Amino acid sequence: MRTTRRTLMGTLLTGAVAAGLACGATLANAADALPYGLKAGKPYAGTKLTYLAPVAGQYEGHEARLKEFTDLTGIEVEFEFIPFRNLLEKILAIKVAGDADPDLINYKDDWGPGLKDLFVPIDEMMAEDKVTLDRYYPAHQLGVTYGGMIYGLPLRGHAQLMFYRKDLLEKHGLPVPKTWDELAEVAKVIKDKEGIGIGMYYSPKAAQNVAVWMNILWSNGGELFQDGKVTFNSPEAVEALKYYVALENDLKVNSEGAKSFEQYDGSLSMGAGQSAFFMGWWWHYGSRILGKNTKLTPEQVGFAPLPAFKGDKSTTFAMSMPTAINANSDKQGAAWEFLKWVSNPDLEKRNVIEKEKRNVIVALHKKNMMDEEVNAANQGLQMAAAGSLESSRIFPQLAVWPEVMQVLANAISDAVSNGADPKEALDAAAEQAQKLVDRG
Amino acid sequence: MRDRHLKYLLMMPALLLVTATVIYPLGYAGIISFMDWRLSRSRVPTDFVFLDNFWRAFFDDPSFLNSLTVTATFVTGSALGAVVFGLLIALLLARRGRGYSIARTVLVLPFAMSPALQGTSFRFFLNPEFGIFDAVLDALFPFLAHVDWLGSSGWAMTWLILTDMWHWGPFLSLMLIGGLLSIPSDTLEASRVDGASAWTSFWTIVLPQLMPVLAIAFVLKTIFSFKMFDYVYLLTGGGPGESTSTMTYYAFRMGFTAYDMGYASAIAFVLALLLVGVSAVYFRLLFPRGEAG
Repeated sequence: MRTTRRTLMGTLLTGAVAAGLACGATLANAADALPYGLKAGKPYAGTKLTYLAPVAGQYEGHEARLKEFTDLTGIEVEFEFIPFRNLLEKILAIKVAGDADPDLINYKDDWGPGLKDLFVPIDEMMAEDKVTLDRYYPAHQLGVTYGGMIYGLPLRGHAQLMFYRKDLLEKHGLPVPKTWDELAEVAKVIKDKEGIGIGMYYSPKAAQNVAVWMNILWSNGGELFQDGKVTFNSPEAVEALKYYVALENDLKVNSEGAKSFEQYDGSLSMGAGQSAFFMGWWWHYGSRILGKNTKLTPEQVGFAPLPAFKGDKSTTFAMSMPTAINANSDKQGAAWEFLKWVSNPDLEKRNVIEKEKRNVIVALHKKNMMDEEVNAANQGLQMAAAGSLESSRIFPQLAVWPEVMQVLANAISDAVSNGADPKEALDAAAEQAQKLVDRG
Repeated sequence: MRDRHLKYLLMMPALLLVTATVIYPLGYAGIISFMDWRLSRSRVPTDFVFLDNFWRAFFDDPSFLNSLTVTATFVTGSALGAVVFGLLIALLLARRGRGYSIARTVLVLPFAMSPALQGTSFRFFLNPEFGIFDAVLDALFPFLAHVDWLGSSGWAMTWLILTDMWHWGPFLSLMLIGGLLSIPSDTLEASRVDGASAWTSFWTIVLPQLMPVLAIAFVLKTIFSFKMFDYVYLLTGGGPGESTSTMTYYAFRMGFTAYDMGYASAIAFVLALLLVGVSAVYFRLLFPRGEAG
């Protein structure tokens, strides 16, 4: 076929028009493209979602900014807040009833293996929208992954830190402790001179004593389980428990009431000026240690990674609270849109730096944890927590873990309060736990 | 004939209500107790396991056996304590007069308050750092200055019982005041004329005549003590160790921490059977056969 000048011109013109149209469409799409991977065109406009979340400033911050999401997607979301203590009971009731409401559920990571039938795996949705877990620390990634599937996105998460009275350490020329032995020595001096010690806690209520002991255990080279067998009665574990008990009964470096204290009481004690140290979740810093009704100022309180037991590096325990989509919900597409929006790092950053209405300190995205603006607004807390999260571990991902943890919590409490021999207490707990694990 | 049908018709709403709220849940719990229902595996009961859950409770679970002992200790302490406490208040307030009437009205307040509120309040009251009870007790008894009230098994159980007595004592006292005021005053006056001391009158006249009311108060309190959950959940969490883990608390733990609804139902069913047994014995003692008719 001969190419004439006319056909060549025609072809070029057609090509130019087609290219122009394609370019225009791309530009128009770019103009329509929504942030955070939200779908353009409001495909779920008019959908009403319900979201079950615990009472916490962070979620209140999300709720306060809901209009932004509704404007972008046309989806409305109603938050149902419940005290954290009752959250598990509520979720179990939803599971038993097979309720489609709420569409989204926030839960604690170690409940996940036992609840996962209630949640939709979101791997495919994430892949489609190019959402990855890389933006979170490994401990928080693990907290949403069971059996190789991802069931939620972490929206709240905690690193453990040691909070200390900077002013008292400076007053007495004492260093910030880096090991448990140093902590005991420094706390002894403070207790002798100021009459206040470590805001420690041993109550089996809520099983938070297990988290403290686990930090000592891991730092001592011990493990909770190995190859499906319970190993928390190993010599390392017994040594860790003996030390934890000795802080209260032999070294006497704790503040009064530690035997019946929960973590909550420990931070309350520090906020009231009754304890010089507190070890626990970082959220306590914003509300219990430096909250409206406490006696301390940011200048008086320092924070550092938890002490190491052996060596110079501690392995701390981290937890997260992911949000998942209810498997019974018939609005899963809209729920995924909300999950993308609510988990976006910009929203998290605004929540953490805008202090006018609520003092939220919890961030999970790596980039926010290292962000200068975030750290400037929070006395550098996120950067310190990032250091802790780098080497953090999480609770074992077993469906029976919550009950195993309670068995352990009782054993620890028995050893410190009732004089039970640590080895015998852990042996008995291990036997009971092994039965639970075998039963599955 | 029509009248006979009418009475059944009138009873129907109450029967339906009791069936829906008591008989059906109890029956369903009974069925579940013979089944394997682990919520981590299924949202509905799965296999029929016959007596496995009961076998596990009595022969393979030291925590359950511990909860039986704890429940027995608590029931004995709180039932006896609350009735004696109620009797003491009743003896003080069983007088006629405006001031006594007001005092008796105020007495209902502790019973009217929510146990959740009381449990939380008592936990604060007993806090060794800023609790008001702790401060008062330390001032009155300096040798108790460093006691962690909920930090040892003995004290934790004592405070559970005292908290429960504080809740129930005033209510029981109202029952007993009614009983005391119905004792004929001429009997007491006659004993006084005969030179009997107040102590002798109490033991020989008041107590025997008050015995039916006391017995009912004791039965009522025993049944409620068996069901103790609120204060354990709020005050001690079953600790230290498992020293205050009652049967209801343990059943709750098995259901909502271990996700094992079948086993939790079995424990609850054992508790229900115990309650039926205890109630039957009491009522047999209180109302011997033929007496009612």
